Amino acid sequence: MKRILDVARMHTVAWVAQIAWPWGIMGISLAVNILIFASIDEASPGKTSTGGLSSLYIVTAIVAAVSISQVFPFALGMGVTRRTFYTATVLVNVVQALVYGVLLYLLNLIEGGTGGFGIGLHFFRVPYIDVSNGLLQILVYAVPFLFLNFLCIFAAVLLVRFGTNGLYAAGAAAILVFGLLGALITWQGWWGDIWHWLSTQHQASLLVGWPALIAALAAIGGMAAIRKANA
Amino acid sequence: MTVVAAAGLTKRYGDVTALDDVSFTLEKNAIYGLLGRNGAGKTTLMQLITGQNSATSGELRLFGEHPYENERALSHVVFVKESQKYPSAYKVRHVLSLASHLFPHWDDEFAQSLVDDFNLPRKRDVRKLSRGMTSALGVTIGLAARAPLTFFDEPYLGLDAVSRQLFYDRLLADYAEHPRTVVLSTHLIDEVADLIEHVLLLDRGKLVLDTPSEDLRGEVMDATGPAEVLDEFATGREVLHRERLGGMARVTLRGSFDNAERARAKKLGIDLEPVSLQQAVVRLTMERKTA
Repeated sequence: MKRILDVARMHTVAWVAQIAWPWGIMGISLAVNILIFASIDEASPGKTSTGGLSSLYIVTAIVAAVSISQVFPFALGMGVTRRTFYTATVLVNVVQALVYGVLLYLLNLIEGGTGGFGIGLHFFRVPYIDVSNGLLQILVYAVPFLFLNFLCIFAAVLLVRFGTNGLYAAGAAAILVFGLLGALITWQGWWGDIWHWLSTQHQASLLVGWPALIAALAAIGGMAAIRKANA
Repeated sequence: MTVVAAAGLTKRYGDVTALDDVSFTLEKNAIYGLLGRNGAGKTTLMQLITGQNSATSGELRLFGEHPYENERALSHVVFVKESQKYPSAYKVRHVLSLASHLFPHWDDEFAQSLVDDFNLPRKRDVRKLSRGMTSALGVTIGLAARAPLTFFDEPYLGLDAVSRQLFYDRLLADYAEHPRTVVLSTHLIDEVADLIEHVLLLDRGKLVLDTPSEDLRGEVMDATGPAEVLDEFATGREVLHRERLGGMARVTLRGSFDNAERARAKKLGIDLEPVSLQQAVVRLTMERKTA
């Protein structure tokens, strides 16, 4: 376990780039949003939501991908095994998602308590994913981190293991598979059934359960692919 | 005690054979020179031993165990390579801090003194270091890790002569106090000739030499003298190289040269001179090429 924690430090030691920047960028996005919405007089209620929060998820996912493409070769060079490195990486990403989820929930409460920073802004209380249950809200914030990060980690592992061609081939294969699937669904006229299925899903399954399942599959795929990867 | 044992080790990349049926052992507390031309298979061999790649066939044991994905065995190894990549977010002090946790025998005081000796800027981004400074960082990790098995793969690319001397001095001094197995892979053979106790020479994937450097020094000689007598003297020995200038000739010979042989050479008017390790390696490698 100590070894895993020592390796996990590889993802946090340069915390300014690895942790602070995603929050910094989101903070700037928040500040800009506050300025913009404060200067719009006729901002009608319900129209003051923004997608600024997505910047945190995107930058965090980029950091996760870089943690494979750059930190993994370094870790191998330091005599760390692939298994230990990947375990530490999963640990860091899961803990990070939960901690970020809690922080976003606190910011959500602050935003609610201050009447949307005094201007009715909905930056953290994004429509539809703003749920009433505190614990569920934390998970609703946390799971998209796992979803995006592990998909990016999986792609980065493919890049490290199979090179640029391998990554493009996997991307092309994914487009082909999902494209054919879409064509099949259209041909068979299944879209209505799918929308119906989605709309009858419980909020928790749709926002937490299914994305978490896909994240777990991506994480397992990454584990399988990294076992034979060389720096 | 045997630290590394390889038997019939072979590594192929597609139709390229990087290592071809290589067998040898590395013993405890000795300094090895892993020599050979570019593309001879040196780095591949070190990657296999350090579990960074897997062999196509053959047996390999590191501290008696399989190296691949073997945490216990690998934590006693440090592999400093010229091509080591560092994450762009890291500063020098981050790398040192991580290394201090990852290597169980790490000596931080020693590391800090090396950082000072090499004038490494602790707060600079690793990616912004010059070629020489990146090498100095690698050398610092390799020495301060004090791993029972230490690999240096062309560790001093871009390092100036003073820094290289510093490296040799620190390596020898620390080796005397904390003996371990060191493998030096380098093209600057003459510079490390005095350090190396045992030579492993790779040529196009094959291990062509596995011998104590003392023996090699007595084994490969330059003989200069009149061409006819030289031919007679050379019979029964391996001729690695031949140069002729008028009636005089110089041949590089490989074989045993005992006192009687030396006396005989003197009587024939032949001048026998041991060649440098670098010359021996060059001759041995070139001879294989023309053969």
